[in-house]
Amino acid sequence: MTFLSTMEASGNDDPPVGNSSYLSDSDVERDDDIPTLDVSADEIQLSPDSWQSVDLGLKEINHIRSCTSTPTSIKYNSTCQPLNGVSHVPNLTLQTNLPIQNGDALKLDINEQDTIDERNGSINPNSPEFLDITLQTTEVDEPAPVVNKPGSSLHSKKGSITSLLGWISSPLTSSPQKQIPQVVKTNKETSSTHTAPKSPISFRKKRFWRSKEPQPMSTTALILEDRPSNLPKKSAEESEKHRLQYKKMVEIAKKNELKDVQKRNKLMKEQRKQEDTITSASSQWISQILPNWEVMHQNNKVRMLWWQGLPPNVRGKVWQLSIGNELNITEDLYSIMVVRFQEKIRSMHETQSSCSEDTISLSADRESTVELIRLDISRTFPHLCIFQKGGPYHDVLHDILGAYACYRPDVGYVQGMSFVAAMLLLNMEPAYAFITFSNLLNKPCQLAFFRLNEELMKIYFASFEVFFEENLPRLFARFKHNNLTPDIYLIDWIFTMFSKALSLDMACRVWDMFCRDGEEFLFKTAIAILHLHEKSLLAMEFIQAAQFLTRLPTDSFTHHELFSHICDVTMVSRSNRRWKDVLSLLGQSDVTI
Amino acid sequence: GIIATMTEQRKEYLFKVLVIGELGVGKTSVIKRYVHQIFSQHYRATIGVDFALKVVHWDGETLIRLQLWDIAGQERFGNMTRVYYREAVGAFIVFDATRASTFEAVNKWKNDLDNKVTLPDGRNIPTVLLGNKIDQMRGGLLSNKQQMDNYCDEKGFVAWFETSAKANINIDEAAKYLIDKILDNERSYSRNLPDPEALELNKDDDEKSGCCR
Repeated sequence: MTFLSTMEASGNDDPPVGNSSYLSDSDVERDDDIPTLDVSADEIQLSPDSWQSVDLGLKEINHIRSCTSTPTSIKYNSTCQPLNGVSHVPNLTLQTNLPIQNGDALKLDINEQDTIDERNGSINPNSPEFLDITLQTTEVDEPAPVVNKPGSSLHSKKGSITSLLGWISSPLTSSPQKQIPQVVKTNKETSSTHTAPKSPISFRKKRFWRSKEPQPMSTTALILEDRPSNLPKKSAEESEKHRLQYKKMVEIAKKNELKDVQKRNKLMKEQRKQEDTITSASSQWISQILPNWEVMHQNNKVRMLWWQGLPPNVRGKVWQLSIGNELNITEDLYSIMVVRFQEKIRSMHETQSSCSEDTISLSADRESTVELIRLDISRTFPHLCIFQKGGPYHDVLHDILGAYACYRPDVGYVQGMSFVAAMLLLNMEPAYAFITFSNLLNKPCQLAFFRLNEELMKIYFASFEVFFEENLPRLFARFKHNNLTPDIYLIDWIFTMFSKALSLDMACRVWDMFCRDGEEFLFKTAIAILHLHEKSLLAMEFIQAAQFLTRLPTDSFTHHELFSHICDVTMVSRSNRRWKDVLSLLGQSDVTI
Repeated sequence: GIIATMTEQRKEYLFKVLVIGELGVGKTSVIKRYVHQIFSQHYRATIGVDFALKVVHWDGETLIRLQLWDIAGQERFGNMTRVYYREAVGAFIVFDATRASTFEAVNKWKNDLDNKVTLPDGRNIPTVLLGNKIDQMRGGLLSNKQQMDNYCDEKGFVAWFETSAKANINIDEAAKYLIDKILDNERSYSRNLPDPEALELNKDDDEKSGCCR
């Protein structure tokens, strides 16, 4: 690793503090086969106030795909097109609105992952490449005013950047002939128009976020130049006119840039906030709640945190703990059931081949479970392409459903199960998915539905209608009039627990709350969905409404909208009864609720 | 379940048609092909029931709104989905021509259908048998056409078609055939005895028609 520039603020004798150890040779030393991106100080221009732009002067970026940030590093993934069909690392321009705090290190890190062409396993030169760039800088202790004169190098920027380096962190072993990105000087090109900011440098985080006026990036596209020397000079008047025109243009450009920056700032701020929330929630779950599950899970604060949605890294564990293992199923039992299922398939194939001429005689019953599972698996979350034949989760979903059919032959396989098992499998290990699946299906509501107990299902539908009418009397009347009964739309929602009807993210959050509040939450969600679409549903005829509800447009509402509507659902009936009471009363006899 | 509305010269019908058959035979695909002229390998399993509406401009004077009820194929859903049969005036029973067991089950679906729904005059609703996925067939089951004709006569199907939702074979033809049969019934029926239920339904549709009175 060559490390071209180490600077310290001139006139500052204090040794660098903070993360300056980043810069020790041993830290930046990289394996020899890691290609190096050398960035010398004057090749990179950093605007000093709350640094905004690192312009590597390179042109091939198409768009920024995503960016993640922590207080100390930034990453941009960029999609780049190969030039003239030659695979190379494209040039890039980086911009960031992250504040640099005193002592912060920012990494510029080029990380190339080639897209492997699946068919032949080779690098596809035409596929987009992803680059991560990390810029590493370290500062000296005190923020100091910076004079950013045109043409000034970083050396002249007091207290701004002590070092800047980039490297390709993932070796380009796949195509050694690839060019290392070249950092092109930009400072000179833009120097003539770069306006020197007057404010003192401020890397303080607080001040940065408080600042109402985000700084625009340099207006590199606009350059006011004199006429070439071989042409007559401009008159003073003309010159002045051009100067004013230029000024106006620059101002407009600046204004637009300001807007962009503001927008980006806002977005980034939201994203950071969200990331922070997830990070802190996840650490709370891991360090405090999960180790003390029995004591904690009913706690009000925990319930509040739960409502925010479970962080993906603890989701599986929380689902598992809340659904529990009343049935005392072990991992061994799962293995045994899988083996039994596979034996069943084998014996079936043997029977089939022994009378291959006469497959018609193969009774539908014999075939059913195995065949149904096979058919349904490929039709489970088809857009994810992981449960389909050849996908990574195909076999294991098959095993879980088959093992369950062997474990509970009285229930067997029922359509809808594949979605439930897939949801679990997306969040936990196969054996635990099986354990949780079996226990989940043993809950009263799931048992009623998956055992296709019509009497019980009718009671659930009737209870739902009690609360539907209570919450949305007009829509309820409309549905009644149109003969749009809950069995038409609720069957899919309850059997799959919304995993088919809602987007995966939203369904996960509904499952989170199902784990906290139980079956009641599913029906509450159903009422909230009806409420969200009440206006349009009121205007629909039977067939449109039925079509709409069985194929919900998933992008028609946000998480926030759905969950605030769920919040608004009253689960107390007119006669002041709660879900459980209504359910048991309806189950007893023909008591009017 | 038939609503016929006279609007000047035009007649408008609303027909409820069931699409039933074993799991994975391509019921949803047939419907998608017929209604949206599309095919995808990636349909999700139908849980309960799905719906589609196709508006057919039958001829200059007749407009048909075809409500297609795509009913989940697992047999065990049994009675639960049979409530959906109510007021249907026609049906497709679909089987997968590449899977014999799904043909075997046709009889069961047909009996079930005839037991659960009939026309107002007590006859069975016209039902067309579809042997789907024939694009994947190499000879085989449907090669003996006479045998299939006999089977349909015996079981009371009005017709059978080899179809492919994927390759778009015979879907429109089968639908046309079924609609024709439904219209025949409807016409003969309205000639013979007025249907009190249909009249009542007309009343509900006041705002839309407003001409017959």
